[in-house]
Order: sequence, then C-alpha cells, then structure tokens
Amino acid sequence: MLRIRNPQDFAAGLFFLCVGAFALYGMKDLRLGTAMRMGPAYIPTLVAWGIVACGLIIAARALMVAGPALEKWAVGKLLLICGGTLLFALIIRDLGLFLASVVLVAVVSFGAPDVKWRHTIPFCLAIAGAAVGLFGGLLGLSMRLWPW
Amino acid sequence: MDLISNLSLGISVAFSLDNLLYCLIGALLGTLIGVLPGVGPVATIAMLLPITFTLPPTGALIMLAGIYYGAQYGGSTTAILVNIPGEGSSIVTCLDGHAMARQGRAGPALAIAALGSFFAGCVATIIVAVVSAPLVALAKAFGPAEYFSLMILGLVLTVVLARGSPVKAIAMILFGVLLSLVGTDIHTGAERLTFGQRWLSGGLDFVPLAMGVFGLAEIISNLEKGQAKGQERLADKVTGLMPTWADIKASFPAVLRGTGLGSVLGVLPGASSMIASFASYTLEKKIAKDPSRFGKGAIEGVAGPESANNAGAQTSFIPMLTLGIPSNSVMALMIGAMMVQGIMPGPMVMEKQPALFWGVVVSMWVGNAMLVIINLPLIGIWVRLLDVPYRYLFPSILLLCAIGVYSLNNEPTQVMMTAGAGVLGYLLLKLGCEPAPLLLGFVLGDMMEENLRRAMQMSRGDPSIFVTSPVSAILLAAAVVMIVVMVLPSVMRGREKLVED
Repeated sequence: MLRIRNPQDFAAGLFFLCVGAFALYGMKDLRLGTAMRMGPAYIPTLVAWGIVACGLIIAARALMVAGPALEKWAVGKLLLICGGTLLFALIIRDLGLFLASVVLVAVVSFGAPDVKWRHTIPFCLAIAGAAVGLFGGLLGLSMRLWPW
Repeated sequence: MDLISNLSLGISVAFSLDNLLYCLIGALLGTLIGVLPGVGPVATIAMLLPITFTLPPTGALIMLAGIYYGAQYGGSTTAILVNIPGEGSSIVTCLDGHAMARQGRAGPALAIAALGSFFAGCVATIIVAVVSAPLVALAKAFGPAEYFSLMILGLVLTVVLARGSPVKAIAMILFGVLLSLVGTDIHTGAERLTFGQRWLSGGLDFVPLAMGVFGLAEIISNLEKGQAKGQERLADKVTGLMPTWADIKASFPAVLRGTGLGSVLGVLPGASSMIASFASYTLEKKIAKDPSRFGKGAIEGVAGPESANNAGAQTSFIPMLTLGIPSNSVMALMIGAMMVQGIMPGPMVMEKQPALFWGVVVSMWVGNAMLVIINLPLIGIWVRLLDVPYRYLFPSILLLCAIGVYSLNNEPTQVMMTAGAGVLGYLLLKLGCEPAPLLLGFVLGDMMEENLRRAMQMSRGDPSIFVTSPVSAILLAAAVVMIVVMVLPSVMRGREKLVED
C-alpha cells in the first residue's frame, strides 16, 4: 500500500521534480548540439534530468522510509523579512538610502514578537542616520542618500 | 629554501600596516557578528563580504580570512557561555565548555579554547605553506579532463560527508549547478533560462544568493524559533582566565591530537571543520581513562575539538588556494570574493600573484595571534553583545545585507534577488535540505561546464578521455570508491552515528 511515510522528503522530491521540469521547459527552444560541439542546452539539460531523477528517488523513498512531518511555515515573518528587503530594493534608487533604510527597518521590525512603536521609530531613524553616515560619508559609496 | 623566501615574502605583505589593519578589522568584525547566537561563520562572511569589495584584492582576502577565524572564535565564546552553538563545529564545544562554565570555570574553558585554536592555527598554517607548492606543481599539469574529474571528486566527497540524505545532497548540488548556468552561454551567446528577463542575462550572482540562502533564511528561522528567554547567562562568572597547571597538562595532548586530526580532515571537501570537531571529541572520549567525565566539564572535550576545528578551518584553504576548488561553503564564499576582485582562483594564483598567495597564508597566523591577544582581555565586551535584544539586532543585520548587496553595482535587482533567495533558503530549510551543497554546486557549476566542454572538444566527442588520462582516471576511481563506501550499509550507520554523537 502506498502511503507517504516521510512528508518532508516527499515534498522535497516534488520540489526538485518541479525545478527540473521547469528548467527543461525553459530550454525547450535551445539547441542541444553534440558531445563534441555542445550547444547551449547540452549540459543544462543533463543537469535538469539529473535533478528530475533525484526528485523521483527522494519522493519514492519517502513512500518507503518513515521521516519527519512537514513543519509549519512562519509565513508572516517570511513576508515581512523578504518584503522589507524587496521594498528597500524598489525605493532606494528614487528615494535614497535614508528613506529606504527607514522603510526596511520599520517593516522587518514587525517580524519580532516584542516590537513597540515607541521603540521602533527612534531606532529606525537612528539606524538609518548611521547607515547614511557610515556608507555615504565614511566609506563614500556612490549612491543616492536623500530624496532630493 | 623556496619555502623560506616565499614565507618571507608573505611576512612582508602580511605585516604591512594596511594589511595588519585589515586583518585586525576582519578579526574584530568576525568576532562581533560571530558572538551573536545562531549566526555562524558562513552567514557572517556572507553579510560582511561587500565591505571588502572596496579593498585591494590582498587586503580583501586577508580581511575575509580574519572574519572567518573571528566568527569561529566568537562562536565558541557563545557556545561556552550561553550554550547556543553558532554553527555545527561548536556543537561539541557546548557539551563540556558549558558544563565547565556552570562550574564557574568559564575562564579556563575560554582560555584553553583560544590557546588550543592558536596552536592548531600555527601548525596548520605551516602545513598550508609546505603542501601548497607541490600541489600547485601537480595542478599545473592538469588539463580540462583532469579538472573536471577533480571537481567531480570534490562534489562526491561533499555528498559523502554531508549531513542527512545523500540523494538530497546530490539534488542540491545539481540545483546549484543549474542556477550557475542561468544567463548567456559564453560559447554560443544563447540566453539560457532567462525567460526573456534582461537582468538575468548576465547570470545569477553569488553574493545575493549566498546572502539570501544563508543570511535571510537564518534570520527568519531564528525569529520563528523565538528568542530563548531566560537563557542562563554566565557572563558575570568569567573571573580568572588563567587555566591551572593541571588543565594545561590535561589539554596539551588533546590539542596535539585535535590538530593532527583536524589538519587531515580539513583538506577533504564537505562539512569539514564540523566533522573534525566531532571526530576529535569522539577520539578524546575513547582514549580517556574515565570517559564518564565527558559532558560534565572535561577540559579535553573543549581543547581537542576546538583545536581540530581551527586546524580544519586552516587546511581547508589548501584546495581553495592551490586548485581553486572550495572544500566547504566558507571557501565557496572566498572563491566568490576572489572572482569579484578579478582573480581567477586556481593554480595560477601562486605563480602570478605570489604576494597575494603568501600574504594570505602568513596572515592566517597573524589573524590567529591577534584573536588571542585581543579577545581574551575583551571577552567582557563580547559577552555584553548577547544582551542586545534581537529586535534591534536583526533589522540592523538585514540593513547591512541590503546595503551591501546594493553597493556591489548600485543595482536594485540584486537586492530583489537576495529577497528571492531568502524565500528559496527558507523553503529548502523547511524541506530539510542543507544549503551548503547548493552553494558549492553554484560556484563549481560553470567551471565544470567549461572544462567538460573543452575536454570533449579535445577528444572529438569521445568520453573515454576521462579514463585514458591517468590522473583523471585515478580521480574518478577515487570518486567511485567513495560512492561504494557510502552505500555500504555498515559505513552508513557509522556515519549517522558520527553525526548524532
């Protein structure tokens, strides 16, 4: 009887299967070439098939050998941390380092369980000021610091 | 006598005022971040990498090496005082180091860890210096086929020594290789896996990937686990640093054994310094007259593993400096840093840039010496860092990452990639996949493709070139032997035991 005995590995197997399949799909228009004169897709295709094979083995083993369950995701924290970083990327060019730093620190701070506005606001301003001072002033990196 | 002239060249480079300063800054920064619980050397180096990009190449590598030792050093401080291992290789330090700290002997534990590491560092630096030249001579005779086989061997060793399922490790390596192949193919100019996105045509960059997978993912998972509240703080109990004469007598043989073991294991690719400290702990426990003392504050249990992991950390530079092949993820980061500096890692580095090569080797010793001199008296300051609430720490670390990545070439897409890599890293964490093989595959991927292509062109498409060249045949045979040994069930059990112990 088929039963998923190792959910974590089963998911990992499916993940690798998808990665491999996605890569193969992405290269469907590229030339393979021959072993002597390899085209752009020759090695990536081999690698992608290797990933597919690994994914199948991992998933198949997960049906036979017991293992850990899937852990819950901290989706909120993931979104805050990566989202804050993403926001920084979106605004740094137009609004400058100071505001981008304030936004990043303010957003990601909500990932902590014990965050309070009256702590966070001064902290944001202080750390953004320090960032401008250190990277703009001291290290002299060439990037926009202020919105104007 | 070449060795002496080489070393004196190295000394003149490493002891120049600039480089001493870079080494010092690196060691201090490394300790600063490494002390923070849950932040290991890989994450530390990934975060601080961009700071070194404005430096000249030699200074940058010296600083990175300093960050590496500093981070390891800081990690053992946290392990002994707070019982939180920053990374794999300080897990065993927690066992007896923290037990000693609870008995009010934190000072001697810290001192022995530092002095043992320093001794191991000195010996291993000499080993690096002696072994490198012959290896480089050998490597210069390598053609593309030999290189390809060597990289295969390295990756196989990584799989053999990696924690957890070997198939998952292989999948991660291949995934890393695939990621490294994204972008324009240099031979044909065709765009691969870019899906029409112009910012992908230059390929994925190493720094955003490493920073996302190691830095961001680690922060998210730390936040998820929550701050360990009410952790037993033993900071105030660090009184006398001086170990007693009995401590020294007990530790010295352990340091010697640890150094030997670590030096050998460090050269092998894989989770080297972690394996080294585990192996050393097991060894000390086996040969001790009274094994039951271990786990209750046996000083050999601190001295041996700490020396072993430092020796391993040092000798893991050998394959990186001589062959351009990383033996662990820290070395993968170093190779990434060299490439950003415009240096192609490999056997030519020693010949074309002797000052850089020998300067870095000698600076390893300098860095270790600095850590002992600076850090033991300053231990109180580092410990104070543990009192900074995480809600202030992690936003600062994230900001450092974001600015660092952006400053590479003022490119917001790089920062976006970091955020994406963070999601990927978190996903892989949840799927129980170790990220280190991914990074190794990524670093080696395009080199492997290039060498495979050239080898096949030379042989006119005949794959037998890999077995007709004797060197390549030996390397591949070694890889096959490794795989056979790995799948033998008895060894499998032993390996799991080693990791669990």
